[in-house]
Amino acid sequence: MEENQDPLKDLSEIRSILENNTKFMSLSGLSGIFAGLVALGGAAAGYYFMQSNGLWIEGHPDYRHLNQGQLFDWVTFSLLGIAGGVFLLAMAGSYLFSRKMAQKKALPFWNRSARQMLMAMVIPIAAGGAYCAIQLWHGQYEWLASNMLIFYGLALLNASKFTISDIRYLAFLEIALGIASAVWWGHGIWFWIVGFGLLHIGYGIWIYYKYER
Amino acid sequence: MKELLSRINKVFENRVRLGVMSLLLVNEEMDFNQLKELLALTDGNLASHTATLEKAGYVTVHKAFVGRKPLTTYRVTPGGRRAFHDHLDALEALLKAGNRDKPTDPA
Repeated sequence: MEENQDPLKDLSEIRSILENNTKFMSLSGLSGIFAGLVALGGAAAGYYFMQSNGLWIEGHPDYRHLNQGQLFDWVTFSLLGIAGGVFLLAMAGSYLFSRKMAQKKALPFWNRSARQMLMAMVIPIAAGGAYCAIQLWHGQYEWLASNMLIFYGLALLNASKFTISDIRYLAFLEIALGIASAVWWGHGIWFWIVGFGLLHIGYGIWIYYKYER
Repeated sequence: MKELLSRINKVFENRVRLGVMSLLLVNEEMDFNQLKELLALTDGNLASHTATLEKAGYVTVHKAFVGRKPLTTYRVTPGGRRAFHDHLDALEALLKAGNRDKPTDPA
């Protein structure tokens, strides 16, 4: 009687090995393209906002007024709102495209590997978000772009262990951009546009043609 | 019982193919030499079995060149993943049926 239980237990062990070692393969290139477009839209919205309020000088956003001892003001809030909107929209798009891809491939969507990937991203992004918020609070907006890029790159690097390994290269590029942005001082907005906009679009197209065409 | 037996996937009724599928299910991608070493096979043996798996639509083959050396890489397909899980389900059903239908012990 005991003998017949072992093969069944072996099977469930095999199943859990499979479950524990599978990566999240429903990551769609379309998520990247969409996120990039949303980021570009957000940058455009930010630009029009700054310009219509006379805060765009000689091709650069003018943050000088922020150093007037105010903790938070409506300009900061509006820009934060745009950034938050970009983030949420990109996340929502990612979710929808991934779910559609999982359905098309008849793969389970919300499983262990999906959770692992998400958790791997959440911690660096939360840390980065908190750090950037604190920097903003201290009025050090010049560092924002490079910090956002670096923390995001680290989040991607962590997540790449649980999904398609190609994400690692995007991670390296984002980190490099973040560091370059700190070196080429004062041009944060352009590095932000390249890192969150153009790179995502390019990467999304590459991933799409590699896996989904 | 006979119906359950028919659900067992013939493609996986082979030690090499089971080994290849198992490796590809837990690794995103493997190349020819990795498979060959891990499964201790000859070139021809591995090639013929991967061809069978490819024909069944369970793996994809990608042939590239690194300089002048050929590099052939394999990935499992969603269909292959499903087929393997179905195969495990069939084995499990078979075992449970066997458990149910086993002759009673003599007192």
